[in-house]
Amino acid sequence: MSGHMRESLHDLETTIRICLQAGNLMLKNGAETSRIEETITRLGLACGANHVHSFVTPTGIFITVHSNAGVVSRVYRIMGSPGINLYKVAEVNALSRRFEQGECTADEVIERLQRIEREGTVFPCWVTYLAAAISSGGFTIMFGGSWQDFLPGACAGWVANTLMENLDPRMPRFLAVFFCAFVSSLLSMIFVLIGFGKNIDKVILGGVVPLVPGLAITNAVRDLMAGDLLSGLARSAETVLTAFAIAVAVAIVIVMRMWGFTI
Amino acid sequence: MIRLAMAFLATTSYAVIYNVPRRALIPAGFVGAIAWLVLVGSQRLFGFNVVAASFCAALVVAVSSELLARIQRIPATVYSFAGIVTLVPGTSAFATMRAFIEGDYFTGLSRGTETMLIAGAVASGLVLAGAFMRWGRRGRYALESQMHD
Repeated sequence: MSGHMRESLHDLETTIRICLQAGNLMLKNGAETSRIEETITRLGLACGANHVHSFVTPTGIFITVHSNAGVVSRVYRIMGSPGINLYKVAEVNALSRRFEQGECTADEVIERLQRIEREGTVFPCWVTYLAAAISSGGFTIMFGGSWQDFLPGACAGWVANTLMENLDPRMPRFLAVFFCAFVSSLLSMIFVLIGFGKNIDKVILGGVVPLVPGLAITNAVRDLMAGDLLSGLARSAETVLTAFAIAVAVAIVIVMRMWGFTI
Repeated sequence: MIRLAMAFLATTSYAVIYNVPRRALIPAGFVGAIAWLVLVGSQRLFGFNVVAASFCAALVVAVSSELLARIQRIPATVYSFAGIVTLVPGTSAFATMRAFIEGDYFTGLSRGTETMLIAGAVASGLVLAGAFMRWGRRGRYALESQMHD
């Protein structure tokens, strides 16, 4: 292991700081648990620690670092998630591998981690909004809608995504998803009622696509598969809750339609 | 064919929402398009039912994203999540809900079972392919920490 051979033993405090910050960044931006634990261990060993134990859950990180200088443990509580950014996950992952190969120093790693944390999104805001609209429109067609359904689906998806990103972050996630799905499907229904779009169900389905927790599903499955049962179940619960919120919102709109909602 | 292009476009855009690194964007779109092709193609050509087709599509998604991850050296999740979204059983979930609301519980139960089966098939396809592809790859640091104490 290259870490053992490195002659200068970095300060324990530096080591644990690097590990915690890298773990925090990866967890908040949507990496799977086993990858975070592996990255933390890799970084710690590359800093010169003898052993690193890490335990990562969706709401907290626990790290213990053993080195010749002593043993340090830290707990880091993760609160909320500002938004998923897979670019940052890929960057931290690549950084840890470069550090392991000895291609950069610990100070550079700290500096780079801080820069990654401060960085914004890969694409400008309007590109993201446009992408949400296009993907919603595309899914409308893929679910079997006709061409007239593309635009209303895209509009509903755009509204859902924009609303979701601009809501108060302190709002409970369930409520936020519910609210966005409700507004989006209500809008879809109104579109179809005024003759803009044909198949009401396809338009509603396309409109809620930006709210579907695709990454959470993938991560839940991967965590369970990798043996991180606690995180896997926690993420599954999150997925089911989100799906449930969407379902309830759509159901309310269908009921409104059945009761003869017209404009 | 146009629907296939639509699948590609939709998956790529969905990936943009999650800030996928630029160079992984087009491959992620391809994973989504292939997933959709397998899903629809196996039903039309071989007469698979939806559940079997979803299972095959999930297998293809998992295998292709693990391969892409090794080629581009980017975590595999970056590719697979967008592909999985194309397999989400939206239509049958919607039909389930509608049937229950209308009081047609028999249709609701049968469509609900179908939804659950599709979701299960997608998950098990992911698990199976992922487990094979990652056989023995995560052992290194796990063993390292077990040796202690």
